[in-house]
Amino acid sequence: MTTIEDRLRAATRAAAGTVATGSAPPLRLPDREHDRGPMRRRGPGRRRGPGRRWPSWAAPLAAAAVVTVIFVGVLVVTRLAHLPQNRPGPAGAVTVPLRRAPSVAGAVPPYAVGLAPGPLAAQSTRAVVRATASGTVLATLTTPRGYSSFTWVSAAGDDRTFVLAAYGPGPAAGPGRARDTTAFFLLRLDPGAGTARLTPLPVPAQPNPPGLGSPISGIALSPDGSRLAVAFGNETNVRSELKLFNLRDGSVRKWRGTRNDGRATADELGASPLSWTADGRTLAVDEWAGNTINVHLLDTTAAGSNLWSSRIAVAFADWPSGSVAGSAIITPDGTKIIGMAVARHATQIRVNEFSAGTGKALGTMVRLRYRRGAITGWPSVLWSDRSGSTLIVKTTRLGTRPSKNGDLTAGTVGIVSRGRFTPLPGIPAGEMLAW
Amino acid sequence: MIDWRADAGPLVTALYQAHAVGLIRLAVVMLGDRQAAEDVVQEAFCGLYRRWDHLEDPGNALRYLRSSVLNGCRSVLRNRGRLPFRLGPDTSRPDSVESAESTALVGEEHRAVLAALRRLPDRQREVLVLRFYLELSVAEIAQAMGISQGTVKSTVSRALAALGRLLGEGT
Repeated sequence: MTTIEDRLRAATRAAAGTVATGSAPPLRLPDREHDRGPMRRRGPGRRRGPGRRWPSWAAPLAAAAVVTVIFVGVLVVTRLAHLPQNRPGPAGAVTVPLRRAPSVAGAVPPYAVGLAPGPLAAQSTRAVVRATASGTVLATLTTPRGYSSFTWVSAAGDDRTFVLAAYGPGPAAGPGRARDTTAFFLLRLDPGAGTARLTPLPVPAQPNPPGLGSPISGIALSPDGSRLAVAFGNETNVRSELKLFNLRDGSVRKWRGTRNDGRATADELGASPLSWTADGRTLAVDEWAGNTINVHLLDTTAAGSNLWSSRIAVAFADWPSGSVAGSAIITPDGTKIIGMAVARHATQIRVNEFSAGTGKALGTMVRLRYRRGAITGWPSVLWSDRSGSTLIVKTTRLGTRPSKNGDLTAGTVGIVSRGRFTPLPGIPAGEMLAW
Repeated sequence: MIDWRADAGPLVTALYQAHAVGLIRLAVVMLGDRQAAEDVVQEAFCGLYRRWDHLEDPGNALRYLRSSVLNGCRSVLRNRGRLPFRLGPDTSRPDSVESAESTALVGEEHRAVLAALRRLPDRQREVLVLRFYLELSVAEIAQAMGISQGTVKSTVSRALAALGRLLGEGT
């Protein structure tokens, strides 16, 4: 009998075998600080020929210019030093025109913000504001200076206020300070003024482990936009931790994933989105503990710093009856947990409701059936109205064979209401989205 | 003697020529998407090039690249959809097809294994790929992922069990 290890070896080698030797595309290297320095000076084009000597008066003039540049530079640096640490300067603020979005049937928010994939698939270099109904692009913002990509987006409860996380060394980085960080920016949509404005938030930039990218596994802006929850721990070598930043006074509160014996755990945090109740008191977070997914309800006003001592509302244990558990959010009124599930060996996607009070299953809001099961992506609940009766969800592509490049993950974003799923064809499912 | 700090371009290019295909294969295993895999590898080499001056030992370059590729794959998977899900044993599933037909279905079989692999949490997926595709030792995986050898062993065990469940083996 073939073991699971053998099947894994065979499958991974078969996949790797699709990449032929010598088929790598040419390397495209970017400009590099040091290439503009000593290497160029050594180049033949920079050699001084006998007929290109500078006139004798140029040396003192150049010296005076250097002194002036140094003086101005010192002045600028001195002024910059008075700005708050780890906070991008005013240069990080950007305002772009915003077109007004039409209203949407079903009372879902009219504005969606998505992180569009850039030239490199792993990087989102643009945040795109779209009309929910049509997908029409209403505004586009590029990453702030010093940051290479947007990594997370989250919305407040007013559909006008968003927070974006951006990854990069930051605007103050020089050749000697190239360590990447994750910084946070407030995106404010003002349809009346016709503007979308991105400004740096007074949240310390979070350092990233060298070579491992961002350790952040999720963010959630509170409904009133006053606090930002940031989850750490869905990466290797990072402990589970939740930080709650107060955007008004800059204070921060922390919770760690700690077991009864006091040891921190590395169970993964934030595989599902963090979600708030409308009163801004309770935050739903999930914990992957072995083969169980626990959905915790963290009372952010209560004392204590142990993340996992918070109440477990629903435990998806041992993947019961062939279904899939995960992607759970709490409804803003705090009464229900809504979870996406995949069932019938990947031929159905279900949207299930559970009581947040008792954890009992309340029913299935909608079943999406497909002829063939071929799910490789992750269905998710992206937005819920107050009671959970209307949702925006993302399905994964089902019932199709792999595309030429083998990517099966493109799905559909749509509205779930009254037992029906209505696609929003203009909203690209390949983007990270927030309403 | 080569001044490896000054000669970043040729050295990174040489590393690319030696390791790009292997890293693209690794990313294809993780992502199932050739174009995204090439992008991730390209970005990993660009990152190495930008940080070349901060590299203490050029012998660590491959380890850095491998970590960057794994991280890039995580980002791609995260951007595709943030939420992993888990599929359990389904008693309605027909018995698996054996012997005579298995050869004809080998592509399907591999796809099922790879799809299940990509549904695992990041750490479990990566530890399985490092162990059973790259055939790294427990010590090498621990070093690559920055975790203890004990954690590697327990994660491999849990990941295999999870993979078995996803594939309906009931392990």
